[in-house]
Amino acid sequence: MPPNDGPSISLRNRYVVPRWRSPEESIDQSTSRGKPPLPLSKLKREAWILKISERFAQNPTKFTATEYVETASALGVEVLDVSAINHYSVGIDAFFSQRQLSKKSNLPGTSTGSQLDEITQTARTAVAQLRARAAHAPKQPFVWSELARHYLTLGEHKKAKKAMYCASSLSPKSIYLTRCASRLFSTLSEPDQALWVLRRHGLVAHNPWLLSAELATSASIDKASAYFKRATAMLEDAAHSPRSVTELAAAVGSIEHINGRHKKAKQHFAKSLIDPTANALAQAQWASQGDSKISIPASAWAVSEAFEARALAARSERNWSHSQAMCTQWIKEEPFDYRAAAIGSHASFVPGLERTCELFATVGLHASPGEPGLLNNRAVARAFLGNFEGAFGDISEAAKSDPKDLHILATVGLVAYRLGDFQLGGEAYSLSIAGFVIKRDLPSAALAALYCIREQIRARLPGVKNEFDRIKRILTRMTDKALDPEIQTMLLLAESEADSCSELAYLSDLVVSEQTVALRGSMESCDLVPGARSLVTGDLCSTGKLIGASRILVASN
Amino acid sequence: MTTDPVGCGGPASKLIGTKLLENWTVESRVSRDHSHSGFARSCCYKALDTQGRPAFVKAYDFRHEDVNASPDKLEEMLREFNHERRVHERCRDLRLNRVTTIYGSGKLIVDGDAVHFLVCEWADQSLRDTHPPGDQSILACERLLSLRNVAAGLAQLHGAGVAHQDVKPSNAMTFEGGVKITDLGSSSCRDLPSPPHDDEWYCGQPGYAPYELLYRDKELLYHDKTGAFYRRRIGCDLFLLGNLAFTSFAGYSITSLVLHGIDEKLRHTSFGGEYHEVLPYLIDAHYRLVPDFITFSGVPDCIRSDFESCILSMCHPDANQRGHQLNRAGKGAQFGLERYISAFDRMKTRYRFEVGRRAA
Repeated sequence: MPPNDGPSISLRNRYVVPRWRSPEESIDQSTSRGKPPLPLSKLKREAWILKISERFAQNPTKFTATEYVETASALGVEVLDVSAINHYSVGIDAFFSQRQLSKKSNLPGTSTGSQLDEITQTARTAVAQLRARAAHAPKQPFVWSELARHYLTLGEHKKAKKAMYCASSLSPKSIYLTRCASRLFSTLSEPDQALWVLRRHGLVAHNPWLLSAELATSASIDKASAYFKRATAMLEDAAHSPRSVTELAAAVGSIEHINGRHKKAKQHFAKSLIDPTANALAQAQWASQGDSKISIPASAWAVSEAFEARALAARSERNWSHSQAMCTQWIKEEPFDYRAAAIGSHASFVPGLERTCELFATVGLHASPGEPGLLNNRAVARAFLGNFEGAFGDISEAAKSDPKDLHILATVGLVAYRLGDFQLGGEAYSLSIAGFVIKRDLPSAALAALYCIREQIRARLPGVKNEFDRIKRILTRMTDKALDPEIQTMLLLAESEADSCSELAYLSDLVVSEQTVALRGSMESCDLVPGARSLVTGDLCSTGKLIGASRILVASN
Repeated sequence: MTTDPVGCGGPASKLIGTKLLENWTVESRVSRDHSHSGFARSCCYKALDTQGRPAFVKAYDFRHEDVNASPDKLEEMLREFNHERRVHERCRDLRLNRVTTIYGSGKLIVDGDAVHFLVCEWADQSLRDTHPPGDQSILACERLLSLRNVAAGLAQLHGAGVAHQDVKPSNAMTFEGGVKITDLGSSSCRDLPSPPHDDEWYCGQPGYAPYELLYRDKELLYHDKTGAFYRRRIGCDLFLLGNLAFTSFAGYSITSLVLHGIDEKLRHTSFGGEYHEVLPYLIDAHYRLVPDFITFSGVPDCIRSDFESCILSMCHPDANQRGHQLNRAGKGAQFGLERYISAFDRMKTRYRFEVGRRAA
C-alpha cells in the first residue's frame, strides 16, 4: 500500500501553524522590535560606575569586584577591568559549569533507531521532573506549558489540555504561550479552540507572530481570516523587522498560493525568506514544490535546525535516507507532530529503511494513538519486515476508525501478496486503485498500482512484464508530468527488481506456516475487502466512470 | 569608613575644627557612600560632641551649583537635601530605633557662603565590612541576626510610610546594640512631597534592583496613587531585603544571578518589549537557579529549606506573587515583614541549636 496522507491532516497541504519548542528555543517570539532605553541617564550611569570602580580600586576584594561587575551589567556598561571580571567570574562560572556537567547527556544516539527509542523515554522523564517542580512551586507558567508538550508527546491529551490551561491562566498575555496553546489545539484537531485562544489575545491584530498563527489556523479549516487585510498592511510596514514578519509573510504567501495568485505569493515568500525561521523555510520549501517560481535563496538555508525543510527537500531529491535523518531530528524537536511521523514512516518502500519507518510510526502513535495513517504506515513497514501478525493488527485497528479507507485496503493487498495469497492481494489492490481513480486521487492510485506491480514482480506472476509496461504507460497518461518523488522512486525500484528477481529466490522467500495460513484466513474474512468491493462497484455504476477504472482493474489483474 | 583627605575645594570642605549646633566639633574628613550619586559638592565628616560621642556630618555646598549650574539642578539638590532631612526627622520623631538617628541639621557660613549640614548617628562599619557577603567564615547565626535587625528596621520604616529603596550591605550599619538601617537619601515617603529621585525608575544601586524596575514595567504606574506607592516602593523594599539576605550568604546579587541565567536577548539591556513577556522566563530562572545557588553557596542544611522559601517569596519576579505565602492568602499585608523577622529568628535559633548539638 501507499502510505497514508492521513484522514485528519493532509500532508499535501501545509500551514504555518506555530512550532512548539521549549521556551529557550523560542525566544524570537518574545523579543520585540527596538532596543530599550538604558537605565538611568548617561550622567548618572557614569557617576555610578565611577563610584563603584573607585571602591574596587581602593579595596580589591571579591565582593567589591562583584558589585562592580553587577552594577556595570545592570547599567549596560562593559567592564574593562580584567581583574574585576576574574574575581567575579570565579563563583558564577563554577556554578553554571557545575550545572552543565550535572545535566544528563543530550547527545544523540548513534543510530536513528536509538534516537527514536529515546523520544518517549525522554518525555516520561521530563514529565516526572516537571511534576515535581510544579508540586514544589505551582505558579510557573513554563513548567505547565512544558508538561503540556510532553503529555502531548505521550498521547495524554486531556492532561496536556489541562496543563496548558494552567500555563495560559498564569500568563495570559504571553505571546509564546498563546501560540503554544493554539498549536496544541490544532494538533488535537480542535481548530476552533485554537482560533479562540488566538483571537482573545488583545494583541492578535498587532503582533505579527500571533497574526501569522491566526491566518494559518483559519486557512487550515478553510475559513477566511478577518485579519487578512491587517496582515498585508503589516507586511508593508517598515517598522517590523524581517525576522518578526517572516512567518506572517509565509502565511499570507501560502493563502495567495492556494488561491492561485502566484505573483503575489512569490513576492510574499521572497519577503519571508529574508530572515526566515525554520517554520517559514519549511513553508517555502512546501510551496516551491507546487510552484517552481518560488525559489529559496541559498542564504535562507543558513537558518539553524531547519529539519522539516531539509526533510522535504531531501524527499524532493529522492534522498530517502537523508530525509529520514532530518525527520529524526524534526521529530525529536516536536515528537507530537503528525507530519514528522508521517513523512518519516513514509519511505518503507525503500529497502533498508523499513525498520526506521516502523519506529517513526510507533513514535507518532504514542502522540496520536489510533491514528489510521500512522497505523497504515506501520503496517506497510511491518509487512516488508515480515511481521505479518503485527501488520494485520495495525490494519484491524486502523480499519476501526475508517473501514472504507482505500489506503488500508491497499495495505491488505500488500500483506496478502506477502503471505502468498495472490488472489486476495490482487483483488484488494484492484479495488483500492479503482476507488482512488473515482475519487480523483491519481497520485495514490499510481502509487498503489506500483506497489501492486512490485509484489507481482516479486511473485514472478505470469505476464507481469507486460503488465508493468502497461502500468508505466498508464502512469504517464494519468498523472502530471512532475511525478511525486515516491512514484519516481517506486518506478525505479520496480524496474530494478524486475531485472534482478529470480524464481528460485522468490520460492525460498515464501515460508508457509500454520500461522501464515491462519493470517490469510483472517484477512479473507476481514470486512475490508467485501466492503470495499461493494463500495467501489456501487460507485462505478453510479458515476459511470468505467473506462479509466476498468483499465486499471485489467492491468492489476 | 576611611579618611578621605582629598577635598572638593568648596566651603563644604573647610569644616574641620568648626562647631556645629553648639555641640558638635568637626574632627576629621571621612569618605562614605552617597545614597544619591548625583551629589557632587558634599563632604562627610566625623564630629564629636562635648561628651566625646561621635556623629556623622554630611555637609552640602549649594552655592557652587547656584553660581555654576542651572536653576533646575540647584532646585533638585535642594529638594533632595530637604527630603533626606525631613525623612530623618520623621523617623526620629517616631522613635524608630532600628534606623540611624538624626541629631540635627543647620547652616554654617564658611568664607561668606552657606554650608548646609546634617548630623547623624555615627557607625564605624557596615555589614559589608563586618560580615563580608559570601564569606563562609562568618557564622550563619550572626548573619541571620543582622538580617533580622535590618528587617525590623525596614518594618519600622514601612510603618512610618517610608520606603527605603536602597537596602544593601553598605547601608546597614553595625552598632553595639545590633544593626541599623542608614542612608535615607533614596527613600520615598508617602506623606511628604515627592523628591526628584522619585521620577527615576530606580535610584538605588542598580545591581540590586528588582526586575520590574530594571525592565520598567509600565503596569506599576497604572495603579491609584496609594496602590502605586505600595506595590512599587514597598514591594521594591521587600525584594531588596531578600536580595540582601541572598547576597549575604551567596556573595552575589540575586538580580545578577537570574539575569545571567536567561538569554541575553531577554535581558533588560536588550529587550524592548513588555515586562509580562519576559516575566515567565524570569520566573523559570528564579525557581531553577536560586535553590541550586543557595545549596552551592554552602547555606547550612538545618536552615536551607526555610531560607530558600524566604528568598523565593521575597524576591519573586512577579510583584503580585511577592511576599509571604500567608500574607498573600489574606492574613496580613502582602509585603509585611513580620513573618520574615520571625523566620530569621527561627533560623538563627535552629542553627545555634544544631551547632550546640554537634559540639555536644
